[in-house]
Amino acid sequence: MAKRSDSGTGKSRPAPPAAGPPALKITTHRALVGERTAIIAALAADPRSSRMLAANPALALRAVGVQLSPAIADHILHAVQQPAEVRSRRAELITALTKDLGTAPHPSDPARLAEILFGALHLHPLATAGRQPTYLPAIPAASQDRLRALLPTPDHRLPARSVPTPPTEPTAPTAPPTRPPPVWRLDLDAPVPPLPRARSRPKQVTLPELWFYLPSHELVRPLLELGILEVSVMPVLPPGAFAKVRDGGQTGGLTDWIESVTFPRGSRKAAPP
Amino acid sequence: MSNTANFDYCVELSLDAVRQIFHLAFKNEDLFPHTVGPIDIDLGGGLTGTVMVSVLDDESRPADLAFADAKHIRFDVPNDITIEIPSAPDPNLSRITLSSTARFPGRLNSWVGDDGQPWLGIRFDDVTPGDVDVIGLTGVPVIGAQQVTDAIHSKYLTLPHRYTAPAPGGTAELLVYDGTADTTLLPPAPGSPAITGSLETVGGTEYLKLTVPIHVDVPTGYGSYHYLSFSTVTCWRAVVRTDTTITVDMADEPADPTVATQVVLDNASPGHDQVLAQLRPLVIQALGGFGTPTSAAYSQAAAIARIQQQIADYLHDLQFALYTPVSNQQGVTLSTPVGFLLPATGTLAVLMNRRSGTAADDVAPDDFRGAADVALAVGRDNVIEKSTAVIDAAFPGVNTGSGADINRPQGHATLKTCHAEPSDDGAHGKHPGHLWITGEAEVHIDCWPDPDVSFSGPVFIDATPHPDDPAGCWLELKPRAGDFDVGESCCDVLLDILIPIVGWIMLAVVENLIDKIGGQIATETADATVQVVSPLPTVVIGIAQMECCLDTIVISQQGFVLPGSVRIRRDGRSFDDLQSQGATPRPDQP
Repeated sequence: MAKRSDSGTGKSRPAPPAAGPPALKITTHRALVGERTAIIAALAADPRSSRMLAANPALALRAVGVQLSPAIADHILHAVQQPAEVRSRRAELITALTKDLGTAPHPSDPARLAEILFGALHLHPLATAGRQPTYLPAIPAASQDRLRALLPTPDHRLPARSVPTPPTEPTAPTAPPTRPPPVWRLDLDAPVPPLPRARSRPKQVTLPELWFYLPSHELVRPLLELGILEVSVMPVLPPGAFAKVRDGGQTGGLTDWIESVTFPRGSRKAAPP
Repeated sequence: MSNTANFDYCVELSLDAVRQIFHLAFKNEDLFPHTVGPIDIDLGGGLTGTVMVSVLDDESRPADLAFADAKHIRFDVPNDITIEIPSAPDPNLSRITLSSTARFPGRLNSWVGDDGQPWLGIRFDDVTPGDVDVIGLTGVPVIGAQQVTDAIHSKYLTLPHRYTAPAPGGTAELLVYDGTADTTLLPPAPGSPAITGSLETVGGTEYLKLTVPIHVDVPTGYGSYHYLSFSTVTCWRAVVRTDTTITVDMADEPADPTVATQVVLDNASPGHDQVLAQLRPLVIQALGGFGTPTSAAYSQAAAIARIQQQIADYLHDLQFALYTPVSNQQGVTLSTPVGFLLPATGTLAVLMNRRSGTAADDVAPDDFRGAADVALAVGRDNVIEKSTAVIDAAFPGVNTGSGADINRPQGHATLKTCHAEPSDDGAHGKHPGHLWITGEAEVHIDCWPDPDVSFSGPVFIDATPHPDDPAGCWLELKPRAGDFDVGESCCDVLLDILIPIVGWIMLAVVENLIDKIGGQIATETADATVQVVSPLPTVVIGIAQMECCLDTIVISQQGFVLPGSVRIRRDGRSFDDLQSQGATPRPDQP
């Protein structure tokens, strides 16, 4: 529960310090919405605000003089990291799975997931090593059709070559290894190939490995969906990394791409009641 | 100036690579006939001949080429010209072999061939004799006293050697000797003296001075007495030279008394003077029987001029097709390639797909090949055009004002604009060259005004060559977003959007490039990797297979450059093959 201010408006405006902008103290959702003009002005006054917002909105607001209560800071971070409908679906899944399993699920935790599969659900471990689940394409099929139309000879391509072993060194000295597709593209409706049982029970099960258990139990699908939602959040930087951004440093992350974050002067969206 | 000038694509080949192709093509008798002729020629002075020309490219006399200027290749072609002159007065001159190296220019030109395909090749229709250099000409005979005398020896065999005339008391007889050429003559001349000749200049006129052995048998009119004597006739006949012939009119007795025909009788017995008086007309008649021997007598300069003319005439209608882009789409004719030579760096540049202007606006591209055998370039405008098309296709509504909705579990946004442009190494503080991605999105946040987020950053292309794949070399191109620590899951959202798009950009750019320049194809894999398998036509001019292997990609603000190497495989036996067998072509057996 947000602490209300003396004025009853959820905000207080103490006397500004000798240097720096006057501090805004936001402790309620109403104040967060009601003071948005002042908050946006405070952000606009600080040229560092764009990259700070991308790094961690709560800490960014604090850096420009907006004091947030822990509850509001938490609210902001959740709102930024996932849309409301996703958060709602996540809550639904947690409730249902907790009821079915008798314990709180945390499927994004590989050790916890292994306990659920082989303890609570009594599933046989599967030999998933070296197997790749089916992923949805990064580009939707309709877009791919349009993209193929840009190619001159779609019917005359040679089949892809496999990389000979040992592979030659890439020309880029710091070329990273190939990354697997992100888990949110796991295709939950694709047919799952039958796998033999594993010789031993693994201590950890990752979400891509969980995909192979989809036919094994009706609770695997909601577990996988929840696991995907748990890890599919927009990241925020912890205070140490945020400080680096605030001080103009590079993070090697998403924030380095951000040039500006500009809030509209007028409201493009109706304020909540 | 740019990598592709006013075109979309450019292929640059090194002089060494062009030379390899040339030498192999030179082995193809169908393309480059090694023997030209016979050609009937008029040598002047009534002489005709037939010419056979053998062109050579062997170990001792290799052919060569160089880039002369922006549009001309300078060829050096060793050759032997054999001239048969059946009517040569001197049998030794009836077959002459001249050896030289012909240096002439060939002009890069484009045309539509009989097959309907646009061709880039070499034409010679503007070659004039003055454009042809004849280097190191040998074998031009020097026509001197010996050659003219030899002609007299030869003519002697065709003439009667016994001449008679009525004389008081009988018939005067004149026998003309030339060594042992006629052993039937009686009496035989002691010592079998031959006709001898030399050249002398008297009073500013060049004469052939001949000494002719004779025998005279003249009745004296005194009973049955005959005046018998071996003798010699010395005569002078004016030599008429032109640049191409030498002629002696043996019937033309000089008016100058100092060079009048002289008959010297060995026998000084009575009647000597009477005999001389009777004999002189007969001698002059006999000498006149040698006619007017004319020999082809080209001076070095005249021979060169004649060869220059012959070569220019021969080359005029020749053209050699070198390269055509081959579309993989049936019925599609690609735009005509336009060639430029960059002599300073020994580079042949082939431009394709004129993007702006007309042929009058075409200019040579920059040399982007560096030390590579071959390099392909895609111009900046084309890269941006393809990038924009890919982005628009992937995100319908982007760059049009309405925007494209992007929904992920992490959030929703409307991508308003997105662009990619090739950038130099060092631009934006990033190394190496990269695609610089810029864009603007409206990010949807619950209960709060939606901010506009502008973003920009580099995407690099990692190139991995596979030169030793048994199925043939290939190059793998893989996009990699810059400024990201790959271990950070925070990057997944942007990476999952950008990398596939850049993969498609690369595919669209490279595959269109490959299609236009005539290579086979590129392929795409599921993880946005582009594989360039065969970037250039593998078969070149019918005699050799040219395999092009790309090594890497260089991105700059001018676009893309893909340098590589050229490997040439012969369809048939190569010079090296022949050399290993000791069967290289020889001048007498081309």
